[in-house]
Amino acid sequence: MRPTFLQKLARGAVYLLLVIVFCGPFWGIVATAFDKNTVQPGQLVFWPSVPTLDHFIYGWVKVKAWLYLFNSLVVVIIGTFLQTLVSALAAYALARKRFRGAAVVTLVILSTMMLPDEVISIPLYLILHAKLPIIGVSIYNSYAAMILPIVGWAFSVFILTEFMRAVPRDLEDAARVDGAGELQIFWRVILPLVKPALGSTTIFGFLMIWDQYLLPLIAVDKRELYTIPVVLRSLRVDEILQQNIFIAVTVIATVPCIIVYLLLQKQFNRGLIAGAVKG
Amino acid sequence: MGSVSLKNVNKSFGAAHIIQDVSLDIEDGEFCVLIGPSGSGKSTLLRIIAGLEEVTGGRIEIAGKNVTRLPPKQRDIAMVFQSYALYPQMTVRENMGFALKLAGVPKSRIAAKVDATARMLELEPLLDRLPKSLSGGQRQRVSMGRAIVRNPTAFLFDEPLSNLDAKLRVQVRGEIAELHRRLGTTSVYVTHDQVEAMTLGQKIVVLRDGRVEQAGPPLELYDDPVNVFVASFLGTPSINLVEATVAANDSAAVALLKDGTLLPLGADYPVKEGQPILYAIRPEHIRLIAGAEEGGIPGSIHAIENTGSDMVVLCDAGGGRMTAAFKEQRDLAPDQPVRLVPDPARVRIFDAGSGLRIRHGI
Repeated sequence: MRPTFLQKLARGAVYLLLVIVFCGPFWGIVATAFDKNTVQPGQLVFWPSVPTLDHFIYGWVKVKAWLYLFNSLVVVIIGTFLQTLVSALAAYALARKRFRGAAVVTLVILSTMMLPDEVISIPLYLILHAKLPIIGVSIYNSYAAMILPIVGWAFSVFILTEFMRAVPRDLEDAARVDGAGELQIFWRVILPLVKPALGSTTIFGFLMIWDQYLLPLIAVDKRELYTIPVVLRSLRVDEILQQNIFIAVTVIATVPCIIVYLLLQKQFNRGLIAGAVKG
Repeated sequence: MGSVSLKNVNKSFGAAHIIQDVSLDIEDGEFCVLIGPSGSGKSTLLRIIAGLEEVTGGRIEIAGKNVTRLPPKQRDIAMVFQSYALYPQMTVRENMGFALKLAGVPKSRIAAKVDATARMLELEPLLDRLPKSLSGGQRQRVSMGRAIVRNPTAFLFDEPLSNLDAKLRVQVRGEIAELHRRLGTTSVYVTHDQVEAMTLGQKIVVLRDGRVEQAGPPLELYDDPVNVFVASFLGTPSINLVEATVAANDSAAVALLKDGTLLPLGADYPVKEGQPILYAIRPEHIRLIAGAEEGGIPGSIHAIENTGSDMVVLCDAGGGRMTAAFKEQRDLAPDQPVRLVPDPARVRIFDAGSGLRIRHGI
């Protein structure tokens, strides 16, 4: 049955409401960032009365948003790459290999999801401060301190494990007979078949690392190593800084996420529906 | 090309002894079929030859080389899987050339070999397509092409026709036979379909519970089975196994069926009076008499299965159910009284207890 005009109108209104709810705040910060008039904390404008790029320029140059953005990008790019690699390798072992203690390993990985970040923050701080054996230095106050703790992520391990379990074992056997070694089977046969899931976990991983606040906060105390979320927090409580500049830096902080989403959108959506349509 | 030899091969999964002391010699260029019911260990044995399963004991030789502890890639074998196992992300061309690529063969040689094999299997129009766009038969041909392109010492087939419909199965079966004639590569073929085994195999190995029950040329197994299991596993419709006891009639032994019918056995069977036996005769070796003639086993027709080319008549006779099969079309009806006359030269006798064959003059 075709919907009536009223039904169409009601549906349109619901859609519009959802768009306003989800996109409204974002629109508010973009408009405010471009507005020459200063706003008070908690205030946003709907449309910039006098459009300007001044807040972006000030934020980029004087607040050094470029530096924090660079730090965030270093952490997120290396972190996402390593996280995806480690997750895929761990998932391959859990999904395709039979080994003694597999259940215990799974449980240990699962347990990392059960603990809130706040609970592990002090032990983690102590570990990051501890001097490494042989070389005698700690990784505290380095990119490594912000990257290494998030390289292993149970969520992506489990997603990839489930997808890899669904790959028929015959394919692995066929590759083995064809002369493939363990790494070749992983790289050339299994990994291409879980590409949609890999796309999703990469995006989720990217966002998770990009949004990290507590870890960079306890991993570094040098301001020049701060990442965007940490610096946003410090700008938020900076009473001298104009609110519009803070908002402009916030807008800058969202740009990489939007770019990554647009680039991997296809993979992301395929990954989300892949589980639903697999026969 | 080369021979495949198994010597006292054993395989256990925990307490389960899956393969029990299997010894087998497959000659260079021979087409050997491993057949048996589900759980008989035929696929496990094939995977052992491929190197996909490790043995718990014994020795495997391919082309005279001990490969027992070698991984699949060092065994120079190619395998065709029941599920085709084509890499979904690769085109037909990439699938066929994958093994050569891994072996470091130059691209130009891979292309030449893939093209030649594709020509042979009439796969040329499909080379740039992905497996998901192919039919079952085409996928199986690609799977064979992937094996052929490597020119291995031996082909291993793991129930390659099971996923095809009946008509396609006959066609691909013919193609496999033709390929073997042309290439002459040693082949080991696993199936549970005895028609495939009989039509393709130069040697058939019947397995049960991980043991070799009998190995030999198809007709030898069909005509000269060593036990009841082999006799009943091969042949459609299945061989008639009629319970009987040995009785004496003058100087010659006779079989006394449950319904009281006496059937001559011949003089030189090493049987004792009163010994329980199974009187076995294949359906096509029974003459069905509808008239009032004497002799044979009296009975009545239970059902008639007419395939057009064959008539299979199921009868209540000999104290149980017996089957007769013949080519000619006859005017028969259920419940009609008949007599089943076995060809004495084709009768086989088995010990009812052990199931082992009782041979003439032993």
